[in-house]
Amino acid sequence: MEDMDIIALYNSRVETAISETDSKYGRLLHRIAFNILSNREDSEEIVSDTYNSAWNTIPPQQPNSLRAYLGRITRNLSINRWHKQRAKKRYNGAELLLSELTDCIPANNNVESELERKELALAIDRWLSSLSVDDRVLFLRRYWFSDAVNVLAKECGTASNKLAGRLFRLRQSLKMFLEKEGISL
Amino acid sequence: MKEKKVFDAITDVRQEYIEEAATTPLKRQSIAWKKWTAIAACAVLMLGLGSVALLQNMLPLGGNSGAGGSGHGEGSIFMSYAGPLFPLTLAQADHDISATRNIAYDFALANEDDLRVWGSEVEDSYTLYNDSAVEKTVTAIYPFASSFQDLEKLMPTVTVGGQEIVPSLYAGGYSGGFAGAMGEEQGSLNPARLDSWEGYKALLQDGSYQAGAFAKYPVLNVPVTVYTFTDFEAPTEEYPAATQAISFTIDPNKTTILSYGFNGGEIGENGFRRYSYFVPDNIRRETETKVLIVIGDDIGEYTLQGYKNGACEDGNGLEGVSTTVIRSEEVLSDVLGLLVADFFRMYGEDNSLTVSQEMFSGAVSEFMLAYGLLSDSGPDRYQWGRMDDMISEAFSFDRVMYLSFEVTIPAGEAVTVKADMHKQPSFDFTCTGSDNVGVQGYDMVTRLGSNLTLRELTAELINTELIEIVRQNYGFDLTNGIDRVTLDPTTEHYYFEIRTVDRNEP
Repeated sequence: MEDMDIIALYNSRVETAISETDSKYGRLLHRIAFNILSNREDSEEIVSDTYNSAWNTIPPQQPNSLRAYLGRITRNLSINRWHKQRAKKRYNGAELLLSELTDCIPANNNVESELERKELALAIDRWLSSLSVDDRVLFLRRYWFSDAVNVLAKECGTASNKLAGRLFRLRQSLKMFLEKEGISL
Repeated sequence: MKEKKVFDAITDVRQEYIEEAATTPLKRQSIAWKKWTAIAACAVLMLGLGSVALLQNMLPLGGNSGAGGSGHGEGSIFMSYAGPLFPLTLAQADHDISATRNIAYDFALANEDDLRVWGSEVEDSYTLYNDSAVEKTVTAIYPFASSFQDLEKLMPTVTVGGQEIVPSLYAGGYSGGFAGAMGEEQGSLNPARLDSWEGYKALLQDGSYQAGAFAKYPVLNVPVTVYTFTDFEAPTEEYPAATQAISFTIDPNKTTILSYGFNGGEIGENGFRRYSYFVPDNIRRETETKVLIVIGDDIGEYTLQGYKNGACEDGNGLEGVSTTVIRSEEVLSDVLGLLVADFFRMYGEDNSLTVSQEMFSGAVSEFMLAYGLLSDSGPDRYQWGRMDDMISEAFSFDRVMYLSFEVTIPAGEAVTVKADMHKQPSFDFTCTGSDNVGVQGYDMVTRLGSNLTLRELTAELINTELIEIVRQNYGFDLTNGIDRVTLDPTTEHYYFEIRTVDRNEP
């Protein structure tokens, strides 16, 4: 079913909107949640909460990309869950991603005010636009969809360590970009 | 935590980039074709018919003989795993509907003159209760492991309220994956079929596989240029392996070649390609349909050359080999339909399709998109673009299939649904000499993929005179007459393994 048809179901308050969403995007959303939480039960709850959130927000929201809209909700919910429960549970997925992202932290210490999340996202957008499509896709597959390095390496037909090196260079590139823009975190 | 700020902010990047990342495959850094081109600059890679069979461990319409296998839970490790019995489910979960389930394995000899038991007749029986105050019509779905090749033998017969019905059949995609030539994880030359119930669990538990099975098949609306070879001439009496070759040059980034009916191929430097076939001699049992399908830029000029045998090299040329090449512009789905028809006309015999050709062509299309050269990250196994392989293996590779049918249950009443089928055992190949040679394994999953609430789960063994149980977690005790047991529906997996006792000669 096309996105616009699914959104029409939400607009009409027809509950099959959820099952159609699940059929089309359930696997992707589960993947996003599981890659962050590395816990199947928690991931299932997050995906379920995503559907609930979509049901409560569409309408009035009319997302252009249902995939990105739902994915963002799942990602936010997963990160929140991870943050709240990290003391109690060990979520290997996000821990590893965060340790990698320390490479992106700019060294600037003399900026007057720290960036808000939205502004930082816009800066990352600008950096992403400077990349080749393949590098951009790779970066987002790793740090937005949180796909495992070995999965990405297999898809690229390359060794995991080589791909890890490529990701490291991308993180360094982002760090330099943020520093160049005078951004502090 | 500064890194969490970055992690959070990445969530909000432009949705176009998210779409792009979700839909754009990563570029392969070095695929096998390119590797071969670089390393073996002038090397000739012949795919003679025998070597193809050896290399890929298959022949047209090959079955499972090459499949490795392993066990399941605490059960044995079997080399050939038949897959578990799956539970009935409903298309839409309905809390008013609950069920009891009884599985009966019947080990009577299939034929009077059989010496020992092989496989079991199974009756998987459900009583569906409607606890609501209104009549309910639900769509029930019964999954089972099979291939298109084994469908006639393994497809269950379904009865509802004692009446046999004709359910709709849906087929999921290939249930396994691919591994290296020796079964190692690296590489993708050989099929790696599911070898444990846990494999099925991973496949089915998120529901996407079943959803895919019920989705419409893709239609390959791709314009293609087709080169059809006819009017074969060669001195085959003197040269029974006389070979016709066609060679041309392509830009691999702009052109993809699929072949059907060809026996050999060569990838050379700078986009050089050669495809060859043994000239039909009316003796060799092989299709006379020889087709090259060009996707993308056309191949342009080509050269035809005859050879004494499959070695297409200087000094081995042969006069008197000729063919007529007809170029046409088609749509891939139309060509695929013709090739599927030809494949079964040629190799069918006892392997005829038990589903419509339209359905099977859809399954082949899906297979090609998932694993063939139309896939962005297809396995090495299909990098030659041999349509013969893809049709054959879409036919013989295991899947989970689904029977869908409606059941009407009056308010407060119950209806019985039965699936009767032959179940092949899991086993070890005799020639391996393993300790489990002669042991037959049978297993079932209780909840996997099912939204049906089970009130009670029981199992029974019938006609057990010619079997003895060697391992199990059911709780049968045949020596003490316990051949019916009540099971725990929350236990995910049950298995039992038997040895057969030879029947006394009359």
